[in-house]
Amino acid sequence: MSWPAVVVVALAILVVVAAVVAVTASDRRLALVGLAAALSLAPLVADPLPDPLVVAIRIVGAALAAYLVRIPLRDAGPGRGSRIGWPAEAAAAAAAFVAGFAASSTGLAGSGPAAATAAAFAVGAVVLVPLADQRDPGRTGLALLLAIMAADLLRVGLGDPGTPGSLTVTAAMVALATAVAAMLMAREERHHGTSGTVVPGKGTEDEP
Amino acid sequence: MTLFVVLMVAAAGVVAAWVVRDRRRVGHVVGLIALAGTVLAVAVIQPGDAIEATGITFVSTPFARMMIMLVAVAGLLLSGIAAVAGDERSPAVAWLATVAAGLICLTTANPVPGSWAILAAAAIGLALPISGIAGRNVAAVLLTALTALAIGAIVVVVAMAGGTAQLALPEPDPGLVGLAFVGVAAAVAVRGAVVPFHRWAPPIADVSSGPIVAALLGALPALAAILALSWLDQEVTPLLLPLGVAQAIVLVAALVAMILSAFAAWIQDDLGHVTVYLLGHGTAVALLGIAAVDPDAWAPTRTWALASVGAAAALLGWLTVMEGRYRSRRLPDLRGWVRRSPLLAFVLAIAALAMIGIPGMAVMEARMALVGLAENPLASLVGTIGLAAPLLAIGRILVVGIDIPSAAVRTAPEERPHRPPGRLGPDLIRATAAVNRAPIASVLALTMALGAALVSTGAFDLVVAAAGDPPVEPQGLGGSTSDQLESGWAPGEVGDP
Repeated sequence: MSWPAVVVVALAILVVVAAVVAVTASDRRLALVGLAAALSLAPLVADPLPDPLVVAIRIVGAALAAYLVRIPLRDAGPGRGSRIGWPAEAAAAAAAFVAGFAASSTGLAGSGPAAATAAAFAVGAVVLVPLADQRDPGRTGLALLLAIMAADLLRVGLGDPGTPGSLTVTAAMVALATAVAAMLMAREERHHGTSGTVVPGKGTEDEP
Repeated sequence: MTLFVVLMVAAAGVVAAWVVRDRRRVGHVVGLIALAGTVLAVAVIQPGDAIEATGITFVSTPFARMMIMLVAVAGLLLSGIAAVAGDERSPAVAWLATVAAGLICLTTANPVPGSWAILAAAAIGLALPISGIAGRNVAAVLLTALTALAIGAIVVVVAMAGGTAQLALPEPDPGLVGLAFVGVAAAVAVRGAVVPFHRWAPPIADVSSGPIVAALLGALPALAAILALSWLDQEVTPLLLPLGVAQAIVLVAALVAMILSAFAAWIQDDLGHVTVYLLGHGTAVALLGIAAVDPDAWAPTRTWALASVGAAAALLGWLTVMEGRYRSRRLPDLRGWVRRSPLLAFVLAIAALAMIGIPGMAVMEARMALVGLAENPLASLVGTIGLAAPLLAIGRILVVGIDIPSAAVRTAPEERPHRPPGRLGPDLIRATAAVNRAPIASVLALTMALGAALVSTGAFDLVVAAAGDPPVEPQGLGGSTSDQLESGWAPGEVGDP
């Protein structure tokens, strides 16, 4: 089954908008909604559409990943959000989206749907800063998940139709979300003064 | 069907061991049971077994069976060592996830699922020691490691997909294919913490336990290297494209990394960091096989991979016992350890033998063959020196060990077994086990090291398995086959050595 091309482009734009919200919002709940929406819509940016079972697994995986990250973020304070503001981030994403389309049209970026390549470029552009600037670990954690999603979109754009890759990326996202949640919990414990735990074989680990 | 059973047992084991990870004794027991079940399940795998599940076709080969069995047994023994040595958490979750990742990597023709599976296993392994431990910079250490490993996975997936798309064109651009090739090699280097992509790894050794580090930096990079080699062998090598510059970049990077890793291991005082650099050195050796882009690299690189899993487990098993006994990993605190624990010194020597080998051993022949593929006298000379360079670090540890014992070493538990007073019965057995944890841990580490050395000699038809074919999807099995052929993901056309 295939979508009309315009629907694929519209879905790609929705994925990018959701990713921009996830990365730029200082309200944690809004950022998590953006993450869940981006991860859920990403598998639909494909031509032909994946098997319905695969899409269902991807959506369940997206919900699980967002839920896992929500556990430590629920009680955390507001995030830093974007330092340059969402309009600037959105503009960067839009420019990268156009660049992705251009790359596809020149044949540089494979034989898959151009909208997937464009969305991958756009999401890649908005996650670069939070990946490099790790002062807000919650935001970086969300950016990590979005970066994996962008790589999978680029794989589709490059013409690899593989259902297998589509399924195992879900496993990677859920595992990564687990690790991000563990990391955020360790950070919270540190902030609440429970440091000084004896680590076996390493003596007492104190604050630096 | 047997492959499906292994996958299900490993996945169920991951979930069960994760749920009880905070309950020390129960966690160790559940982990050991899950790994023992996985070993049994792997034992019944038959080469040629094939299943299809949700679009993925899994096909077992003798090499896949041997590698998965090695990973499962290494995980079982290391989990036993961790339990006896008193680690707070069982490392079983990380090893079970590694078994599942290995199965996906080695039994599917498409490399993309394997790349994501390796990332998933690494993330699970990283999450394990962190939650519940509020220590110094733990969150920052984990975030850096997760970022590095995720970027590695992204680079390898994009490079492989991009390279394959380019190779499907009537006239592929050698420059773009070379770029993809360097990307794949760089991703392997990041996964294996090869110098200079190593910054994320030593801090992980500070906040994690030895058995988990063995999975993260021993088994998973070996799987990543095999995956990269399979992609090259199936997609790139047959086209005989001129990739000279890209190959030279990877070759020089591998040679420099071998020397620098060995040097870094030599000058480190923290044994955790020493082992990290030694494992990085091993992955740099594998890069020599990737740099060759030559069918002759197939068998030696896969032989290295089999041997490296055992050697990494043996080395980290030794470290875990040392750490449990002396409550320190710093070499100055461990002065005289060889006098106090001669059996552990023997374990380290055997682990080094399994890692480096001597002439006549399969691992040595494979490593020399990889150096020989450089076809350049200077590169071969540097490579040969690089292969032997880890002996400096191991020699230093042993020399420090024969010095006059430090206070920490003098007060550590004895290695000799003791028989507590009492009459024969269950109480005596329990008391004997309680007072003999140190010798039991040493014997387990020795078993691990001897097994690794046996594998490195080429036992169990290791070389034959390593020279075997990659997984080839049987006709009429998978729905994904036609998709893959259409898109250029043609599995197993080439690759026979």
